[in-house]
Amino acid sequence: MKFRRILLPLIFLCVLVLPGCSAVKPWQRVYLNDPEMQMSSWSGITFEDYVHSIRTGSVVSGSKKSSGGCGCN
Amino acid sequence: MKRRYLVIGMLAMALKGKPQASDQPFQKREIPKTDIEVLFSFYNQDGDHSAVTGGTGTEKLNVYAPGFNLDFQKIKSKIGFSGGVDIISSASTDKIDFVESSASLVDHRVHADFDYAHQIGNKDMVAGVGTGMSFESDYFSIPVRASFNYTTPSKMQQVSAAASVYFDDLRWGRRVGPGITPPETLIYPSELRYKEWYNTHNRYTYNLKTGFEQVINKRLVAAIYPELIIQRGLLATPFHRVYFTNDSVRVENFPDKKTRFPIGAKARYFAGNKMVIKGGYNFYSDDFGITAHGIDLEIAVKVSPLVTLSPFVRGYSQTASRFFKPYGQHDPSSRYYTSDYDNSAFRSVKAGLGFRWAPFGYFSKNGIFNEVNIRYAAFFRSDGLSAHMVSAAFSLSRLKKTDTTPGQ
Repeated sequence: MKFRRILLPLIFLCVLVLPGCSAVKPWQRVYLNDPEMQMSSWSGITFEDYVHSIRTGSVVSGSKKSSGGCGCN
Repeated sequence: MKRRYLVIGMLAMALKGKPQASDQPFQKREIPKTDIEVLFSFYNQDGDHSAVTGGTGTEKLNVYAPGFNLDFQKIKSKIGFSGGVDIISSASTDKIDFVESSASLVDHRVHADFDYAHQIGNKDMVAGVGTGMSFESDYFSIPVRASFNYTTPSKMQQVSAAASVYFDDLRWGRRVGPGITPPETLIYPSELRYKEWYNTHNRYTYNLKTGFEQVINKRLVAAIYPELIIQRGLLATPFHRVYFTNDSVRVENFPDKKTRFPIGAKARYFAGNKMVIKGGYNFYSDDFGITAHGIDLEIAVKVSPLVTLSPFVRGYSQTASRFFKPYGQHDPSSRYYTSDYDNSAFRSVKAGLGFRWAPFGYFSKNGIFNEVNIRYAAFFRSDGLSAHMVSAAFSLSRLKKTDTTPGQ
């Protein structure tokens, strides 16, 4: 139920945002191709997400790891 | 007069000029062959709510975590190896036996992963499989995973999905050395070893991650990551004590099923010519009663063409699991119980600074030094736990020169 409460506004947001998207030509991708614009994260952030999954009751969505370690200390 | 000089100049350029490289039937192109990343992370924490001693006592912990990633890149496929050793020095682990053997007990986690990804046809569609292992004295985990990624021809959208299963064994006593010893038993606190508290020592985690990335315009990209995690088996930690109102003590106990729903949204915006604003929101809910919200903000500032500084902050809040109560407050008639403050209600803040130096310079004929990443974060939890994290990564590439046919 709580999940649906979050998911529905996000879908609504997508519906609002998608028509506002403008086509980007290959020669216009200089900003989008910048390393800082990439969604993937380097190993240091993956390590922090792993710590987060241990030191809180939740996991970061889209992070590399959701189990596979004790983290029980 | 001027026209004559112009004509002579143009003739000289025509005679001196050479055709552009792209007009040649074959051109030389460089393809990254191997990417190498060497990583070192350090984690330090202190607090006063150790789950080993029932929600009270020191949580002092140090983790040194060296590791590496190797990616062998071919035209249509990629093979990845990664591995590392976590050296864990934990004060609370001594309290399992109440043996003050040292200021802290040292444990190790050895982990290794293998991944293979292949491009399907000539399209921007990549499928991958992977496996690995994670090994501790009291934990052994084998993951198996498959992934799929598709980028539309316009490069405006990207869809990804990854399914993984973790097979975990929580028994203690295995050792790797001259002779591998098999695991023996679940380890309970010393005074609670008079009986077996659980009827299984296995934990299974089924994970489905999905992602949808959308380019909004030439400066803005956004993504959403819904995820589903289902866990079965022994979800409690056998050496976590729980104290009850009648002064009795037992080991932590949870239901043997757990369903978790994380969902996250991210956005990246390139502001001006030197700044990237990174924002994120994460929501989490599970059927143990925890609901969490997290907000991230990072601003990457390119202080020079090679150097980027990235201050960041993350705010987080979660409700308590319905099985959580502090030391000595559990009802003896309860069926499930924990005093692990990771499952309590709290707020936390994490803040820090990232440093990136990306010279992309050759250090040998085929070797490129890509970048150095260093990141520091301080983490404070409202129950008093504090932690510090430092990560440093060095990234290199070894290139292979190949001849390619026209049009490639």
